[in-house]
Amino acid sequence: MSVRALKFTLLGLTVLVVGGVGLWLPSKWMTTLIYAQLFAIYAMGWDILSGTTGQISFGHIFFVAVSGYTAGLLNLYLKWPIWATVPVGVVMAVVAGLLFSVPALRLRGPYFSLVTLILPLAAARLVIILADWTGGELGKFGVTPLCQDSLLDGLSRVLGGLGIAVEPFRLYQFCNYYIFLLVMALVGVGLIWLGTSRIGKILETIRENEEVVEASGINVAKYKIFAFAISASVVGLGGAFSVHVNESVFFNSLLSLTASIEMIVASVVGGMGTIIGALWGGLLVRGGEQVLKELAQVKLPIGAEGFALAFLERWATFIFFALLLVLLFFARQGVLPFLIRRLRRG
Amino acid sequence: MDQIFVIAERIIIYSVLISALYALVALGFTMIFGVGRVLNLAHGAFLMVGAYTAWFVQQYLHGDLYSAFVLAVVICTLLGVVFYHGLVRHVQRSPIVTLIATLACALIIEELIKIFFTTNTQLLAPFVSGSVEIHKTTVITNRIIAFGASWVAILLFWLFVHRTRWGKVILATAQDQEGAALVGIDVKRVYTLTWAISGALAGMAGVFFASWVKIDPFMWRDPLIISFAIVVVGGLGSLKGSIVAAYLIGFLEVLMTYSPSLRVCPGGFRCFEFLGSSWVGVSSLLVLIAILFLRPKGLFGRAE
Repeated sequence: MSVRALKFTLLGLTVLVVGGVGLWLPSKWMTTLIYAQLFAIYAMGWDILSGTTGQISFGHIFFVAVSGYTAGLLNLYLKWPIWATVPVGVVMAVVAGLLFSVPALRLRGPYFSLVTLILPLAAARLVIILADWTGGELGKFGVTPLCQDSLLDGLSRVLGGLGIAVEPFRLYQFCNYYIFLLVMALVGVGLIWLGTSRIGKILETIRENEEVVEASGINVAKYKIFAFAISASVVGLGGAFSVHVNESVFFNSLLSLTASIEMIVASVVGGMGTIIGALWGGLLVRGGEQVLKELAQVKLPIGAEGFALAFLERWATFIFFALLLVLLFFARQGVLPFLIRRLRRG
Repeated sequence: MDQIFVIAERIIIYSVLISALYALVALGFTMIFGVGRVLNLAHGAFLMVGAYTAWFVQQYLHGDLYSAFVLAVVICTLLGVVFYHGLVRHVQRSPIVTLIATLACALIIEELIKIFFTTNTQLLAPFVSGSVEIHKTTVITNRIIAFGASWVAILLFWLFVHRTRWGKVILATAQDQEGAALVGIDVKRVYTLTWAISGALAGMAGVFFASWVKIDPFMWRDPLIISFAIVVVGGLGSLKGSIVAAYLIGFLEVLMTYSPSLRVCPGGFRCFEFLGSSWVGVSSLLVLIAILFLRPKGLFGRAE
């Protein structure tokens, strides 16, 4: 089986599993997985630029912010509907990506990474300075929900016709869940196709040896700009959808420095430059965080009153970054590739 | 007209004062890069550790700021050494892994501080309270002390590098690591030394920064941006460039904060209004991005 066919098969299986699981998940886990899917979209977007070409971006949340704030504010102030805000948000993210690729093309390695780190910090400052419009750190509520009443009505009528009765909140979650599953699947198909195409090969070779690509008469700059645009559009797509699913422009989710780093973690866990690995990594990272929170509720029967693992919730982020360090030391190629190699060796 | 002179005077005095601190903040960062080619994204977090150490000594051990200062410097020196031997030494070969690892460490330190000291903003008692009038400008005495101490530290550092044997060894290693190893310099020891010095400088800068502004678990970001901006503008690894850049960025920042913006006042007249302190940091970012567009290696950077 070719690499492309293998990846498509894995993607198909993942989508089937996530889609199937969604049917009987309790609502708390439903929410977790909605955000996990969103995050998997971000991670794949990061991977097609940074994982594939080797230019590590520390600030991909910047594109989430550009698209999210564009979509959210257009919806809040000009009452644009979703089918207009999401594309405009994505276009703005692509424009930001193109603008950004200009200096980025002149910067190599760490210099590039440092500038990417600066961008979201600058954006965060601007959002706070313009708090009158953006809502600053508190955010602004009242964005049109992703699943509007008309859509939900239609859904419940279809399900009703099939003889299935679903309570309204459950229906609302279903709707969000499967919209995100669809978007994640489409992004996955597109990026895997791109990553395994001739263009993907060229991007990978740029990572390995830029001079060789240049010497074989290929315009490296053109391909890098292209990777930037694609990456920004994917991450921006997620950002625009996230605003509508949150029904607010929320500073902490649109401009979190941690999320930028988590994208790297997700991709490193799954294997950088593989796309499907980034998808899995994204689901694992968000799912794992929820598992830690769940564990925090468990009381172990040690001592008289039981020993609560409540510290896990406070320590979750810490554990997370500590694990990242461990990964960097021992399994730099990604956990999944690392495990596969181990298993093969027997 | 008179008001403009008052504002101009204030801008000049304030920017001269804060730029010295900025230079001190960036010094350790630029040295680590110059000698070991390592970009330490945890530099801001080192400052934060220094600031929290000083605050802890004041708050819980009831020490004065002088003992707090000494302890902060000692702890940050140790932190620098531990950081080098525990982490950086093993990942140094790959610049990207170094960046991710040091940034992860900064975030780990932020988390630890959140867990143990909450996210509340804390204040550090100043070395000296009160304020002084310089001509028509009121200046907080503590800031003058921070200014003086920063310059003393910078000059001592300069003397150490250029006038002592160990300083020359450091310079030699910075110029050519392999050459230095060939003439019998223990490069690992030089690195350990530079990380110790960088930690000490960060500890000092942290205490001054804290007594100048405030302490909270997110305070590492501004010093990191400042050092990064200074170092990029001045050229990575260039001491003179860093100081010039510190003054440039400090001046721009104060200018942004105190420069009057024209606004239409009630009654239709144009009147002055200050942009305000929320613009601190934005100017350095803008300068930084502009310079990177025009000169990707910095103003004084050497070609590599």
